[in-house]
Amino acid sequence: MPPPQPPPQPPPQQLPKPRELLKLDCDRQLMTVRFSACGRMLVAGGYDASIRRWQWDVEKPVELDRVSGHRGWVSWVEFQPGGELLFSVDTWGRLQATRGIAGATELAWHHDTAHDGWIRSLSVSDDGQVLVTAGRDRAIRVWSASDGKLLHELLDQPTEVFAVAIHPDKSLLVTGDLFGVLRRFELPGGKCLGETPVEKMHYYERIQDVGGLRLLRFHDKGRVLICAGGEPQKTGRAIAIPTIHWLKWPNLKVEHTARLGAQNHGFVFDLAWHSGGYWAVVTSGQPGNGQFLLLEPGAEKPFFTSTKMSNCHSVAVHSDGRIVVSASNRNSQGNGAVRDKMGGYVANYSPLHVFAVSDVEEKSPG
Amino acid sequence: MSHCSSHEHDWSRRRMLGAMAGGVGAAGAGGLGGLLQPVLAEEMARNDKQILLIWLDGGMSQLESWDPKPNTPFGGPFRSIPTTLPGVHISELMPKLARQMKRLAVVRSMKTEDANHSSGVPKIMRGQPRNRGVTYPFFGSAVAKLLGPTDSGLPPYVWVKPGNGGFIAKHAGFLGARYGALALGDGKPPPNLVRPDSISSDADRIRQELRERLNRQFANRRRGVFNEANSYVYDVAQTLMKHVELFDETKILDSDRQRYGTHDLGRHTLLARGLIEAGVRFVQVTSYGWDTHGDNFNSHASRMPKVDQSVSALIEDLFDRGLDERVLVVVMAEFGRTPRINGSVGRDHWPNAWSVAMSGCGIRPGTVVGETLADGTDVKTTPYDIGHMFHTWYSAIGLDSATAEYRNGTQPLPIAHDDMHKVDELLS
Repeated sequence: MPPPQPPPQPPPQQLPKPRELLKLDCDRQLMTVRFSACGRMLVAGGYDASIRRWQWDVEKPVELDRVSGHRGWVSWVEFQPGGELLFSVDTWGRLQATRGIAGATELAWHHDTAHDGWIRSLSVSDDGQVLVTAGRDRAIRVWSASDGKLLHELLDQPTEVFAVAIHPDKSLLVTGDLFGVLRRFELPGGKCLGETPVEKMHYYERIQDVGGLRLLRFHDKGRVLICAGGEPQKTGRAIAIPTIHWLKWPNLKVEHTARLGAQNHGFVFDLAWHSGGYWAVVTSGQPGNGQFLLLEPGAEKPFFTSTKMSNCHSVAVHSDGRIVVSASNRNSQGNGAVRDKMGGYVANYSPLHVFAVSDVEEKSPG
Repeated sequence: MSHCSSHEHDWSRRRMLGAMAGGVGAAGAGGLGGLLQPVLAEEMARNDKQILLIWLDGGMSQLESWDPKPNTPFGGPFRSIPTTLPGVHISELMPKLARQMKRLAVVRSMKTEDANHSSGVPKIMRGQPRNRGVTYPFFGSAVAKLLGPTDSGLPPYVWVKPGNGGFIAKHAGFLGARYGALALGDGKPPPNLVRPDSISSDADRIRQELRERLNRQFANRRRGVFNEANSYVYDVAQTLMKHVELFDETKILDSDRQRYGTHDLGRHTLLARGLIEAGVRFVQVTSYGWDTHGDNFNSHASRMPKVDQSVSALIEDLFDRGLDERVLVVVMAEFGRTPRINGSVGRDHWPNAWSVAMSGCGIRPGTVVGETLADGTDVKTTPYDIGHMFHTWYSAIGLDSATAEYRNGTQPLPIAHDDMHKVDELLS
C-alpha cells in the first residue's frame, strides 16, 4: 500500500502591502471621502459645509471648485451606482443631489429639511434608484433618487438612528441605533420585521449613552450584513474597541467578529471593499490613535495595520486599486490656546493619504 | 467620639459626626460668629437665601450650550435655536432651557486661568482669591460659614453626587472641617439615618439623654469650641433624621420624575429641589464625565438633553413656587472646551472663553453678559474671572463681598478676590 500523500498545498497567498504614494493637503476637517464610479473624481464632505472635489484622472489630483448648498457639516456623501448623481447630507438636515460632479455642477434636487437636524447616515440602493436617510430626529426616510420624491418615512423610532443600509434586493432596510439595536424594516410598507441587539455595542455611564453600532453594510449580494463601530468602554472620552461583526443574512447569526485594536483605538469610522478581495478599514479613537487596516473576509485580525496616521475618519477605494485615507493632522489635540508663529489660533485639518497596493509580498498560508 | 480626617468614603451618621467634630477649628451656634465680624454674623442670621449649584465636572462645551457659533469654522455640527429672549440663541440641544431663557442670566465672557482639572476645579470652586497662604473654602463651605444653616437646622452644605457619599472635610479649607460637605452618594441618605424598628422611641430617648449626659462630661474636660461643635453636629444629625421623607422615593410624584428625568442628573436635581425646600442652605449637584476629548458631539448630544430637562424643570419649579426670591441657581464647570476640534472629534480644555449660567435670587432675569469673537476663540468684551462671579453671587444673596471678611485668627481675609468686583449687569 503506498504511503499516504500529503494534502495538496494551496497556492501561495499574495497579500498586498500598501505604500503611500502621496499626501494631499486639505485645509479643513473631512468626514467622508468617496470616488465616483467612473474614477475621475474624488469628493469629500466635511466640517465647512462644502463638498470638496479633486480631479483624479491626472498625474497629480487637482482640487476643483467646491460644491455649495449645505449649511451644517456635510456628514455623508455617496455616488449613485450607475448614475450621475452625488448625494450628500448634512448635520442641519439638508439632503441634496448634485449632477455633473466632474465638471460644471448643477443642483438636481434638494430638501432643506429632509430631517430635523443631524442626518447620521445615507445609503443608496445597489441599482441607484432609491436612497434612505436617518438621523437624530429618530426618523428614517426613503427617497426616489432621480427626483428626490419622498417615498416612505418611518417616524418615531425608539431612539436616535446611527446607521442605515438598504438590502441589495430592495425588499427591506436595516438600521442601527444609539443603543446598538439592529432593526429590520420591510420595503415598501415599513413594517418592522424584528430587532436584534448587537452585543456590547452600547454603553451607558454618567448620564451618557455611547452608541457603538455606527456603520451597516450589506455584502456578498446581501448574504452578509456587516455591523461596524466599536465596543464602548467608557463615556466622556472616545474609549472603545473598534469592532466589526459579520452577520449571516437573514438569520443574523454572527459568523465572526474582528476586534481591531485596544480600547484607545475607538471606533470603526469607515470601510470599503477592495477588488483585491479584502476590506479597507479606518478607525479613530483617543487623540492621535488612528488605524488604517486591511482585513480579509472571515479574518479576525488584519493582515496589514498602519498606525502612522493620526485619527482616520474615512476611506475610499478607487477602481484601479488605490486607496485614499482621510486622517487628521498630527498634534491635533491640546488644552488651552495653541497659537501659530503669527499668533493665530490653530485650526486642524484632514490630510488625504493616497496608497498604492500594487506591491505584493508572497506569504504561505498558515 | 472618634476623630476622622478621611475625606470621601463609605460612611454612617456616626462617622459623619466624628468627621465634623474632628476638624473643628472654630465654632458657634448656627455656624456664625467666630470667623466673621459680629455685625455681619447678626445680619446673616436673618438671611434666608439659599444656593443650588449644578456642577458639570470635566467641562461642558460652551459651543454646544450657551454660546453656539453655528456655521463657523469651530462651530460644530449643531444648530442654534431662538430663545424666549429676543435675539438670543442657544444650542439646539437645549430647547427646554431656551423657553426658560427669560428667567436666566448667562455670562458668555468667562476667562479664567487654569486649563487643568486637578488645579482648575479647586480654583473655580474657591473663587480663586489672591494667595494669602491659607486654603480658601469651596463655594458651598464658604456659604455654610457665611450664612450658616437656615432655621431648618439642616446641614448647611449638602452635596448630591454619583458614587459614594461621605463627609468631605477638605472643601472647608481653613474654616475647619465642620463646614465641609455632607455628600449624599447617589442621593442616598446616610446609612442608619432612620431609627431601626428594634429600638423603640422610648429607648431612643433614653439613649439621647445618656448621650447628652456624656457630652456634658466630655465638654467639662475640653475647650468650648469642641463642645459647641460636638453639640452642633449631633443637632444637625437629629434634624436630618426628622427629614427622612426627603429620601423616600415613594413620595416622589411620577410627573416630577418624568419632568426631571430618571437619569442621575434628573434624580439628583429633584432631590436637590427637595433639600432646598426643606431648608438646606447650599446644595451642590454634580454630574461627572464631561471631559469630552473624544466624540464630543455625540457626547453632548447624549448629555445636554439631560441637563436641559433637569435644569429647566428646576427653574420652572423655583419660579412657579416663588422660590426664585430666595434661591440662587448656578450652572457651571471648571472651564469650557476648545473651539478647535481635535482628531478624535473632541474638544479639549478651554478656560479662555466660556460660559456660566445663573438664575433666581438677586439675578436679573433675561440677561446675557459678554460676547465672544465670531469664531469663539476669545472674549470680545470685558472678560470676567471666577472672582467676579463670586462677588456677584455673594451680592445676589445679600452679602457685601467688598467689605465682608473672614477672620482666620487675627488675620482678616476677604471673602472674594479683592481685585475683582461684582458684575452689576447681572444683578437685579
